[in-house]
Amino acid sequence: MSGAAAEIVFDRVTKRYPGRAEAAVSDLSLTVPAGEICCLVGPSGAGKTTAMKLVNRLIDFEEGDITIGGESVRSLDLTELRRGIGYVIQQVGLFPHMTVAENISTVPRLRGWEKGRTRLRVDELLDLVDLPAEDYRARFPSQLSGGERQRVGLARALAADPPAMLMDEPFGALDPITRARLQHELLRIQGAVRKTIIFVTHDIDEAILLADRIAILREGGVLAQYDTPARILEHPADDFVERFIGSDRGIKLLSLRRLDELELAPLDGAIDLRASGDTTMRDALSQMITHGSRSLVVVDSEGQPRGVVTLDALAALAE
Amino acid sequence: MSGGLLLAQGEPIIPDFGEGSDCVVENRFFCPDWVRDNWAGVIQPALLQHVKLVVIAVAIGFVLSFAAALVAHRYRLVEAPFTAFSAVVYTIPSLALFQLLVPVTGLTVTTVEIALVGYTLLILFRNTLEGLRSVPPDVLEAARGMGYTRGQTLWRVELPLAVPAMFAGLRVAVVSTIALATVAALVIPYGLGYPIFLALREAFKTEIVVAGGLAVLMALVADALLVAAQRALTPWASARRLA
Amino acid sequence: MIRKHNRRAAKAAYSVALGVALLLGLSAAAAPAAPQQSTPIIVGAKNFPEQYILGQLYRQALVAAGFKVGYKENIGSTELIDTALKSRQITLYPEYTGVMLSVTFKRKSLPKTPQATYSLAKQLYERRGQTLLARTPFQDRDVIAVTRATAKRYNLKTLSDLKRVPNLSIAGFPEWNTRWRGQIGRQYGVKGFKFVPLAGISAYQLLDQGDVLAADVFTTDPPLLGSKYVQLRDPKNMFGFQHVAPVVDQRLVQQYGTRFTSTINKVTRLLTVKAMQAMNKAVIVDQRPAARVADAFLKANGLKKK
Repeated sequence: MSGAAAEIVFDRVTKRYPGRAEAAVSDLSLTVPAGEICCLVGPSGAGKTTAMKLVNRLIDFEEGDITIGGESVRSLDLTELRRGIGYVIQQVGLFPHMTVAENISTVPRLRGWEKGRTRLRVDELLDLVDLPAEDYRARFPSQLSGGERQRVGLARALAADPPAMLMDEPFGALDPITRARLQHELLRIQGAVRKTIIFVTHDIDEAILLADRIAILREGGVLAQYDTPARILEHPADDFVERFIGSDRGIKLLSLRRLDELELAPLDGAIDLRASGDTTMRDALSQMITHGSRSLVVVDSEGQPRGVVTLDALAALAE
Repeated sequence: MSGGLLLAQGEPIIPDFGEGSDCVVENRFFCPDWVRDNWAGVIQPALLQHVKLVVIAVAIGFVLSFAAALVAHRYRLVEAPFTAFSAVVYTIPSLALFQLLVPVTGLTVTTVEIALVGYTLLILFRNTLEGLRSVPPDVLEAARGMGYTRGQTLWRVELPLAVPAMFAGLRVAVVSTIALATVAALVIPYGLGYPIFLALREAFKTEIVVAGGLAVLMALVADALLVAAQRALTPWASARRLA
Repeated sequence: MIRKHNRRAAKAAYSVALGVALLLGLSAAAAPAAPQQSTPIIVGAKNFPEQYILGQLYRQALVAAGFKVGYKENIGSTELIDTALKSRQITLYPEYTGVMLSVTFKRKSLPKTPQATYSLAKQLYERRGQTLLARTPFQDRDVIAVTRATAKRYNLKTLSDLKRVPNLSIAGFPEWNTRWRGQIGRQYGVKGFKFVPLAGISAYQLLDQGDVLAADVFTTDPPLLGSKYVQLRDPKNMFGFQHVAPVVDQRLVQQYGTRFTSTINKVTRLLTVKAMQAMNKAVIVDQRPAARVADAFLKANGLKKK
């Protein structure tokens, strides 16, 4: 299990803890297409972390099945299964007694890679997560900042080029600026590596930003809705989903769309506010409100005005 | 024997036993001549014996407590009985422990070593176990999630991370065993305790200074060696923290 | 400083040991030595100079008489050496008659004469398989000493004379005060004195410096050899009697008979207080090895070939 991304399928999976009446995950079926990010979201107690840990059997289950690339996780040797799935957690869990390089080469070492190959891979990954290898290879985790640690954690999970990754609120403990930066880094890296990622978060905005598809779970691990962010925002399946995604779903929806998608009005007089075509509509709206302007000029990559977006046009969209 | 009293057969002859140097007779603070005369015959053997007592006691104590800690780490039930056992041993005064052992193991080095090993158990066991348990839960979860087996987790993660706690235990055990090993002299003329106790009774200053000083020096050297060893083994623990 | 009266700490240790022995089901009695064809002669000695000398004297005299002898010296307390004796780790050792009764047999009151002290101890040992050979002329017991000048000035001869001394101060080991202050008050009327506990300094030094007027010392201490100090008599024998008698395993007597006992007794009868003080001085003050001192003494007195 390595290399190309693999499809992950939950097939009627139920997880019950002994002594508890309600199931933690109930009859969960969903398919994560290969190379996509699936965010598991929901209130606490909705079983999102449990559902994720069933995949690498950190939590075992009896009912239903999960397959990765068509192979049942239950048919695989436990350690082999885990070594084939990248795993990233909120507290990172770097080994304090190992250098950055040693941490990243954990799984390659477990799999018996040659030293030379491992070393090359470490440098490649450090480069990928934007940490200069020369500078970082020999550091210990205690010599890294929170954000740097999570980058190393990500590199470690990617080390043996697993087809699937599990990420459990990886950015939850970071400050907002670092978090935002790492979210975009993840998208950039995903653009390059194309893994199948199951990403647990309680932050719906993070899910909207990162996910190709979002699975919203409710109490008892019941799947409330599984769809693309846009469709969930546009058509919440029920009251629970609607409440969960919040009363500002109109605004959230705008964050999924970019100014390029709009038909622009012709230039009309002098407008100070400018934005490029790949700005999200949400950011454009925010700028207009911030500057007390009812319109904004969209410019092309050379900075030449292409047309005007008005407040009214945005409001009409969000209906 | 009539009541044990023997009629004196005249006064005994008291021969000339030879005299000590002025320094010795006046019992000055430090007599180099005494040290020179007694280094090879008294002090050096006592020092070597002392080192042997300590090394053997700590080595055996470490192996036993290490094994016990591994078992207790795996099976929690083992912890309480072993702690209780080693704590009871720890609280028995050495003289009392010797009382128990002498009928079985005699007036021998074995008797002393058993007592010394007994005193190291509590500290070494507690520290090793605490060390194994001090591994952060997220590190253990990451290890499990990445496919470490239980054994690999123990040997590659938990034990290396327990090393500083184990060394802390070793340092206390070694230094206290160096001090405690002087009680060997209660059972046999062995180790630095022999000249120390003897000199204390005679209030003979040179011997107190030399033998006592060597014991202190030995403790300092042993501790420094352990600190150096720990530094070498755990570079990560002393790595500069990010401000 | 010679110290054998280490009773308090040893007593506490002994009670703990006893308790633990019961707990663990381990005891000296539970591990008797296997019956043997012959009991070896193993001389034991406690851990202070006088005992090394005594141990060496008996050992060397027996060897000179053709016996095969084991030797274990430096055994840390009366209780421990008694345990070693009972478990036959040693089969002979010199002990003080008063200590036998008060420590080994835990007697509260002691007989009034040296002979009665010795006889009672012997009787008690024989009940458990040991016996005593002859006792020494010397004894090593507590005695209050003052400088000759002080003795002259206050005309001091016995303990009761101390009543007359104004601002009396007495030095001694810390436990001396608890054990003897009441006694010396009741028996000799000496009360209201200042007690100075000894800590890392010899009693004689305190006397010489005039820091104290009187000091509790032991009768075989080398400084008492000369005429510098006066020992105050103890006519009521408050301090009891501390002659030395070899405690031996009765099997040794049965096995080797008078050839064995007379060899020991010949040594014992030579041990006057002068002889013991001289040998203690050689070991303590001149730092001569105990083995060589014993050797010289035995040779001088014809108990070992020159």
